[in-house]
Amino acid sequence: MSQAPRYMHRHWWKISGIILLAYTIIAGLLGPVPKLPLLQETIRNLYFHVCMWFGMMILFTVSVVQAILYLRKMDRRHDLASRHFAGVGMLYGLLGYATGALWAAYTWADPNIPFAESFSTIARDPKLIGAAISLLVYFAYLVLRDSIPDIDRRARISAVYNIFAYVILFPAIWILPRVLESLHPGQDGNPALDVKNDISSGMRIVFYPAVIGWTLLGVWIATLRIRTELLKEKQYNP
Amino acid sequence: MNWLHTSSIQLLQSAAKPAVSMAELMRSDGRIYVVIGVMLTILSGITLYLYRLDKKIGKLEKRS
Amino acid sequence: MPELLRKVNIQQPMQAIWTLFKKDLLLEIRQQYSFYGILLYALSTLFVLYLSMDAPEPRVWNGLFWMIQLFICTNAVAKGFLQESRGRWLYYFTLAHPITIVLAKLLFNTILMGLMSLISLVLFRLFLGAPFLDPIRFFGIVLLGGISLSLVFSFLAAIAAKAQQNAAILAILGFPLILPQLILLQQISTTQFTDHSAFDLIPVALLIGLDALVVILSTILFPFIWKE
Repeated sequence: MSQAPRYMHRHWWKISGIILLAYTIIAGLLGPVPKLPLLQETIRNLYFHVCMWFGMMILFTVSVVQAILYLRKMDRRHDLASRHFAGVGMLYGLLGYATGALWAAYTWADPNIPFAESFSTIARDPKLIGAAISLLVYFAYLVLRDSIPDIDRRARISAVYNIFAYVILFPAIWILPRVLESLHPGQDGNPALDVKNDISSGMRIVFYPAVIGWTLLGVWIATLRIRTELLKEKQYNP
Repeated sequence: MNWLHTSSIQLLQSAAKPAVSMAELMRSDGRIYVVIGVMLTILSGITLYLYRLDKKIGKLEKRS
Repeated sequence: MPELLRKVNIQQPMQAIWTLFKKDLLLEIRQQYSFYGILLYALSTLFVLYLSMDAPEPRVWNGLFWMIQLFICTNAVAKGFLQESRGRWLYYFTLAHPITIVLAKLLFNTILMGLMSLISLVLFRLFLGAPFLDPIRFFGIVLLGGISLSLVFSFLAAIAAKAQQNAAILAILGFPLILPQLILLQQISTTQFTDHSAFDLIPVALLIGLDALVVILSTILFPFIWKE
């Protein structure tokens, strides 16, 4: 059986990830932010909630790269990596959805009616549709994996689905907001946060390190899972 | 007794006035530093947990 | 059947695709029950809809129409890869390249689904009315939609055929993935209900682009699925 890749035993990237997260918390809560109506201090959620989505997308990208590597080299380790990077990506996605619901409840939602009533309107936002679709697709990926008993076939088929889904999904997520906006100009009034125009450079020097920090934390968790799985395999077939 | 009385009045007055600052960092700026402390504690807890898990897995890897 | 397949030639991919396509057509003609099965499925679903509501408003009509298309598609396309036994697949692979096999299958399924969506459009027109203004143009949109749906589901049916519980898993794999195309299709068709001249070319182009992407991906990835 094969060893875990060497980068998983290195410490420097784990330490830098934690340092970046500590910096995110301190600078994220103290740093200067633009004063926007309605958003107010919640704009600081950018460093935590939005980072969940960025981390999810980066982890899914790593997962699909590992799937391609698996199909090229037929090495079990790439299959395990693909599975567990997708798993942590989904964890981030779920956390992103939950934190987004909390954030929306106090900013976008109509304060006069219960949040549960306005949720169906909010969930129609193109970005939320994209997020929900990608979560559903990766849940399907896990179901597909579990339904195939043979290990090699499972690895191959799920790698193929992973690549297929990713390549269809990501242009679609990029397209949807543009198409839906062009047909519903009235929705522009949403006080949604536009990362390109709205945030100041003072926020940017916290936001980008935050994305890297959260992603590195996710990679650390994923590598621990991969190493555990490799150990398990070694135990069953020494 | 008189000095004690006056000093306790002074103490009460100083509590009412925010002018006197004694290690007031954790109470300033809407006590945001408390939030930072809480979040850093959580982060360090998660880090410690992951670190120990990492070490344990490393040991198992060496053994097998 | 064997004498037909003996003509499959690896050197001439176009001819190989055509022969495999004819094989599928022949199978369909011989086992007509599956074709009529799907037709009956469409008809009975529609009849249930017809009895449970009268003359839906355009928005509802649109949603119902594309939902029914989706269900017809999963049923029509699913059997493409599932009906033939594993032994027969191995036999095909000794005769032709996997890419020609998948292209023949995609071709057959698009034509089948195109036909099905046109039939269901006629049925919808008869039972639930027609909110669209230009029938010919809507015909084209429905055809394009049928092709888009069938391309995605053909490839996913190939994946599902390799998993254990295939019929249920096709819906799980396919529904979230088809949503972007479905949203585009609904956007295109809603413009047909209100404005006679309105025709937005961008969503149509995006849809065709996504279809091309699916075909390219299928040819690249299919050989990995059927390798044993």
